[in-house]
Amino acid sequence: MNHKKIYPSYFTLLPLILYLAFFIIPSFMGLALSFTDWNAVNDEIHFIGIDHFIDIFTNKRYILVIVNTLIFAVFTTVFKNVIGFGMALALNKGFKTRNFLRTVFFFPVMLSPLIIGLVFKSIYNPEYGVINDFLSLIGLGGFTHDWLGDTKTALGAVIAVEIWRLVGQNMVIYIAGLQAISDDYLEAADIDGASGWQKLRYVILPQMLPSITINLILNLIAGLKVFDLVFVLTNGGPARKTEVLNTVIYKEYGSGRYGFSTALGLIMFVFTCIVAFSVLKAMTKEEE
Amino acid sequence: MTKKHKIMKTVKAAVLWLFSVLVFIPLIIILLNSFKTQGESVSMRLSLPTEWVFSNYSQVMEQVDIFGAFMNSLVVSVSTVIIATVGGALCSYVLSRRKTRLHRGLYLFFLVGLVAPLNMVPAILVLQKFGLMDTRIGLILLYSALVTPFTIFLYYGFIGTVPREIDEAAIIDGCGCNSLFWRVVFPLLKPVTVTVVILNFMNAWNDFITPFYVMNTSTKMPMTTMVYSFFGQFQRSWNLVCVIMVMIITPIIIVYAFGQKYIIAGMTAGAVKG
Amino acid sequence: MKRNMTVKVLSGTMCMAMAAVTLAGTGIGGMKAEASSGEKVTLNFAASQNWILDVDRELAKEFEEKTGIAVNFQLSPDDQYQTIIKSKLNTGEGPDIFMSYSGTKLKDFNPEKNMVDLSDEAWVADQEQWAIDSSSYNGKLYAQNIAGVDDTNGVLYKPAVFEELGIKVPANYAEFKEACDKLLEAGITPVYEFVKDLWHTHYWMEGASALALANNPELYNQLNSNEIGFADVPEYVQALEQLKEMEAAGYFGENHMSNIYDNSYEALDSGKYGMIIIHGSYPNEMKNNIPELNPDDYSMFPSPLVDNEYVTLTAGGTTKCINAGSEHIEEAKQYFDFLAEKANVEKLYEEKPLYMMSAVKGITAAPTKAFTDLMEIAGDKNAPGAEASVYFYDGGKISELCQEMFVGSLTPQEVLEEFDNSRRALAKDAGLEGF
Repeated sequence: MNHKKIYPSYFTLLPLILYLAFFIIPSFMGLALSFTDWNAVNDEIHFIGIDHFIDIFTNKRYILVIVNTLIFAVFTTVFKNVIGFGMALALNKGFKTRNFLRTVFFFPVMLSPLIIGLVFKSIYNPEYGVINDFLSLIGLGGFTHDWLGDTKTALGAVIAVEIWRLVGQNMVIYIAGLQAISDDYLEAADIDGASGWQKLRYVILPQMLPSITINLILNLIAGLKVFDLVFVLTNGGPARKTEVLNTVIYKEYGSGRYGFSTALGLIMFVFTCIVAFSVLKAMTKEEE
Repeated sequence: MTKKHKIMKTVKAAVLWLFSVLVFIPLIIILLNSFKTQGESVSMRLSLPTEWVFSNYSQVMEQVDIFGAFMNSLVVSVSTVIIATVGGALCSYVLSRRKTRLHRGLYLFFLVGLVAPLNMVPAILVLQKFGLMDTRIGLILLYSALVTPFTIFLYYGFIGTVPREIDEAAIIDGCGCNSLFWRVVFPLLKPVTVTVVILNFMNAWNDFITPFYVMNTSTKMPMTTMVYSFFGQFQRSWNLVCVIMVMIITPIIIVYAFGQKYIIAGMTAGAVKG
Repeated sequence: MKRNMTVKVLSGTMCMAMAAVTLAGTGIGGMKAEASSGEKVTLNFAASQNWILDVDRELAKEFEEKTGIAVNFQLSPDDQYQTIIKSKLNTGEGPDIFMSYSGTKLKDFNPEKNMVDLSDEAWVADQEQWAIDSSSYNGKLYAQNIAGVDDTNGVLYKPAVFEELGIKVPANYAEFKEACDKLLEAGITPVYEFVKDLWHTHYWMEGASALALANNPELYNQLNSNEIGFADVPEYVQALEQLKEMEAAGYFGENHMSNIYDNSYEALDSGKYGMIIIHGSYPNEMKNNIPELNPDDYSMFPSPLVDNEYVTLTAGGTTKCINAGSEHIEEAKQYFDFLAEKANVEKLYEEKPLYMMSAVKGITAAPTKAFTDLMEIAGDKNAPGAEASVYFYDGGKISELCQEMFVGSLTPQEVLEEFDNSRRALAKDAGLEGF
């Protein structure tokens, strides 16, 4: 059969052109300027080589931001996957209200990070927030805390909101994966007298590897690129404890240092590519 | 069923329902505070209003052109959904079916968009070149471009699960390439299409940063930007902000309610090797 | 390489992309925004969300009725305004009129390129000298400051509470600490500080600035030519040390890291907190939020850090400029003329109770009692603050660094060094001499 005829190349044109014109060109144009002193105040642009990158990698304040970003990405990824997987197992079958609950758990994915951020800011409030109100109510008043204001808990508090927001997406991908597992395997395992744990370990998990791969990669990318939520919740504070790459990029961009900000953007881009690619490589190996 | 099983099941149910309460709490906070007085809403507590101020809603409608903003959001979101979904489906279909090196490369090229950062200044320059600054079309095309990578990612995976034999049979029956896709293949993609529609709609609907850069005319601004109408650095009316939030969330709930049962089937795409 | 060159190269790439679009038959290249069709002119006026109030809109309406020229306010969130306007000006998409902080802050928007020179406008003759100075850059007037002073800071307190507890109004840092201790004893948290909203904590530095300037009249020039940095100025170092000491002594209470401005009115009105360093119009704002409150119950004294007795005038109020790239410069000038009319200025001062001192000769603003008290205490000891006098002074940056100081990851000296670093990077990019 003639592939060129039944799958014509012009089908790809519309998204390709939009993607090139409105995403790739602006994105790479920006990245290319990371080797210049391009800024908002001065009309002249000078090529300055890798000066920005030297500045970034020799300054421990920026290294700290990279570390924060990694912590955020790793912790959100692990928890979203573990909790999401657990929820998927629980809601896969044999549960009357499962459809309703699935719908509920996926819902936060639909909400604007702007709204989520604003509401959780008040939920975390030390004086009026729901969390501290609740703790006092059940007699754990001693545990009330300035969740977003304390440097020890701030990053954790932000991570918790991100997990709340996106755990449903992981759950749904895992449910989809679970449903692709044929009942024959599970029945065979039952006949062999496998325990619940053994079934999970030797039958379910190996078949779930593609779903796990996808979830790991999507979560890591989302984690490394996080912006909206941190921007609204803490804007990097207190004392830079929740500062991540994208908030710094935004701040530098805001101060008018466009070249410097895109240098940070380039680092994030390369970094994310490396992480996503290595995970993909490692997981495909595992799958084989 | 054994007794142990039953207990386990009840515990499981209890835990899950408890979790679902966690999902509802923020929504309830927003709803309750939208009926409070300005003074009472400052603390954004989870408590019933001491006095139900239903007039908050009419006050918002008087102060800002919420209907206009709603229409802007709707036009932009729906158009984005149509362009990105139709384009993404067609494109992924060809990329997935024709496994040449070029097509594989093109697919990977699209995936770069999952990672690459967008820079607003060059983006504005591009829109300018096309004469699209301060137009809804510009915003629509920008959003369409931004959601394209994930759209193609989802479609590509899903189309891989649709057997090629279907195409071949249709061709033998005398279908052209267009009718093959639209009449035979596209209906089979329903679950992933619904997923893509929902995700793209929500992305365009929820964005609260891009419009400030791309739009100049206040009457063309979307709903999310209205949140800012009621709080500035010096004064915030949380009750009115909550009213706006309710208005932003409601359409999302409606879209979601219609499409939710397909979400899981659609996400299957992600679980298939890309 | 010149900017124009880059833009050309960029345009070249884009033209190719555009050609591709046209080839594909989508043909969006021809579509245009409803551009100026020649009949009705609309001025786009960009401002941060809370800078425009009802009275501004009313005046714009009246202007439209009178001249047929409409004004469209483009408001953006406070935390994004500067970023958005810079991006737009940089791409030639700037609004016709935009607002900026005054003084050296004008430099953030590249006045020589982006702002119309207003030195020869008729209304300039009626302006107070300080209003002209604060809107000028390199000897040219680039902005209209009708609004007047809206941000002279002092420490706000309730005289009745002080009297009851036998506290006398502090005139230096030691007395201030005494006052704080007495408040603490009475179960009142001495100071409402909200570190999270970055615009606030650096207010404590303004008094130190004025004092440092009095001790060294060349201070701002030296900072602007990079002869010295803030870390070299003892007054600043000491001010930060004292600020840290206050925090460590518990004067800010437990929640200062997540306190927000919104809750300050209630915090002070309820008597939970004793003082706040804030702008002079604050009592009016309190009344807006708590209607039964009497603004005259409050008074103010100068920031006591480093035993300062000065107040800073014209620190960083907002002012408005005309975009040099605008197609409607003449119409925008007409709008400025209109706003400068006596009746309109009076209307503005009457309905926007933010302005404590009039920028226009022959018109008096309506200051709060707190502001009047503050001015009386300071007498002739007033000076311009660093914020409006030192290039790329970013108060938000200091506030952000202060967070790190409070949690102990930076010393006061390091805060100022880091502040200098970020300032120098910006100044260097901007091509300022000496950096």
